[in-house]
Amino acid sequence: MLLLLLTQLLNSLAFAMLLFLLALGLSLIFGVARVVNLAHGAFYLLGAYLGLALGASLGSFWLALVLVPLLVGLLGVLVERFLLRGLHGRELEQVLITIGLGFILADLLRAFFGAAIRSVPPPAELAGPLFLGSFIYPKYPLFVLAMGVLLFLLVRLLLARTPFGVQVRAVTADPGMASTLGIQPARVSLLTFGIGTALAGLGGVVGAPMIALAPGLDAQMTLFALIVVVIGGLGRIEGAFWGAILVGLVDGFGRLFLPQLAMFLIFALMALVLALKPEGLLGRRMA
Amino acid sequence: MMAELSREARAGSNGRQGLLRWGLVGLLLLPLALGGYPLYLATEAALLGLAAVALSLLLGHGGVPSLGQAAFLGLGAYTVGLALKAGLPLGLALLLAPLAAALLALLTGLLVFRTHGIFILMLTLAFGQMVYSAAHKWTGLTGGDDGLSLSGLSIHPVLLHLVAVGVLLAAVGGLRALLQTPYGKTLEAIRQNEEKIRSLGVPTFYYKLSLYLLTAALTGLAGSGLALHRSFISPHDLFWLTSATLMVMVLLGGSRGLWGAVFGAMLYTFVQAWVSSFTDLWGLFVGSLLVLTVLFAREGLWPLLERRLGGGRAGAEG
Repeated sequence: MLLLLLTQLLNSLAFAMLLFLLALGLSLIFGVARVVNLAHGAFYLLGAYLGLALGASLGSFWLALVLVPLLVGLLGVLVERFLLRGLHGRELEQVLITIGLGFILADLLRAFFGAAIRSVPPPAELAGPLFLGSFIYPKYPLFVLAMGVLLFLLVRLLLARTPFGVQVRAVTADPGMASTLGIQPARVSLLTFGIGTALAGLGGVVGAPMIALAPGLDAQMTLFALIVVVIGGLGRIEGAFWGAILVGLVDGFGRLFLPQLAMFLIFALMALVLALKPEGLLGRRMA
Repeated sequence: MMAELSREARAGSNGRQGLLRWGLVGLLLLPLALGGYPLYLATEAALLGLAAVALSLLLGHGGVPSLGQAAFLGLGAYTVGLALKAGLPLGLALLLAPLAAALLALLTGLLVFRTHGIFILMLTLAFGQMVYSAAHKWTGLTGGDDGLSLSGLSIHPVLLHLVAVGVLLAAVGGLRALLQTPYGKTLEAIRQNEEKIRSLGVPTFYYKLSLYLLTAALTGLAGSGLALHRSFISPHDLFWLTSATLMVMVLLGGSRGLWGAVFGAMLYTFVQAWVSSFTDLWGLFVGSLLVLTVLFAREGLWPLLERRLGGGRAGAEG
């Protein structure tokens, strides 16, 4: 029983790290560009399918892990530049564009890759289980877990220490003030949008061996990311991280103990947070 | 917004605008003479039009960007379906449907309206998807993926169409009248500057919540109509693609004035019927339409038509 719980704990945390990748991108983009990117799940799915295709044609998961986020991020930059830039300040219109874009992407992926469920094997180096005495656990989720934690620490460091990180924080806090200090909010927005979508693409490549690819996964991942940022608080990476862990744990143990109700436990958690602290557990109060 | 106000003020061209509206109603009634598939589509358009009118009121006049309307539509449909399965009379079933939708709106609205702006959109979306997964997973009640069939029931298509159009027109008329009442004026003021209105001592939370309940009930009614019309309920109609579709209808027609939503629903329904004859890339179609509408027809097509055909200011939109 204890081993079962430990297994499920690790599974939940690995899934939480995937959610963190998504929520981090969503949160960064919202903070800087004030856009809720509802195409986020579609970018995840794009990353996953691209990872599948590139991984197969190049024969290397690791190459795909590097290339796919770049490609998805590039698409994100193009979207920001040519679709969203002109609508600056019009929140609703921008969100509607991302919704439309999400549907277009998801449908094109379905048309191209088919509607069949595709499961992706983990790379050879990370295939198979790890033996720790009587505890046996697959290597791949541990890799995802480690990557998520490292990424969290890295992004925190980058935001705190690098010039670009400072610019991102400045624009998040007050775009008007930032621009009087010589920062170009438009440029920071563009780059942040690229980084955010690249993170979604990275999530897709990393997540594919854990969650089988199927049409409809995009909406599910967007929804998970939204719930995470609502619970954790939008605009702060700590909110995305702890929110993701909370949602991952509730989802994982919900599936274990109340399989029929797992999804509703997450909604109940969200409702509870909204009732008690509408700005999210670690969020700042919004006007 | 200003264009809208000044247009309302110019009472002189009201006659020709009225003509345009009668033209719209005529288009809805014309398929009665044709029967068959055109009539089926027209009923579909009228019922979706009712849901679009509700969203138009909510979005264009209440300033509440709801992306969870599919849940109310679906809940109305399932309520009527399950009530009929349970042997309740049709009248009672049709009464229960909007009530169930309003109850869901109350439960979620109490939470949703604790936040503002774009968060409302995210939360309505999230709760909408919650209802979708419930419909999908609670197979014992809803039949899950197989859907719920109402094959035992037969309502004459002409009767159903007349009722649908009647309810739609009553809703547009009634809601436009509501907008002229102090309640409606207050909603309008809240949309324009909520901070200011709240500081005047108006409980804006309850204004928005009550509007949400009202529009949810109307959407539930539309959903019950759709269930009778299609005599089949699929959980996929509760997916947020449906909510986005309603959004497309409203934006396509124009989110203010409510007639735009009727026009948008008709236009969408017929274009969609035409498009679905050569592609099944549904999301691609709705998504492109959404992007194009936001980029190129931000105010909607109906105000454009009103200006072009409804007299005056034809040159304003060159």
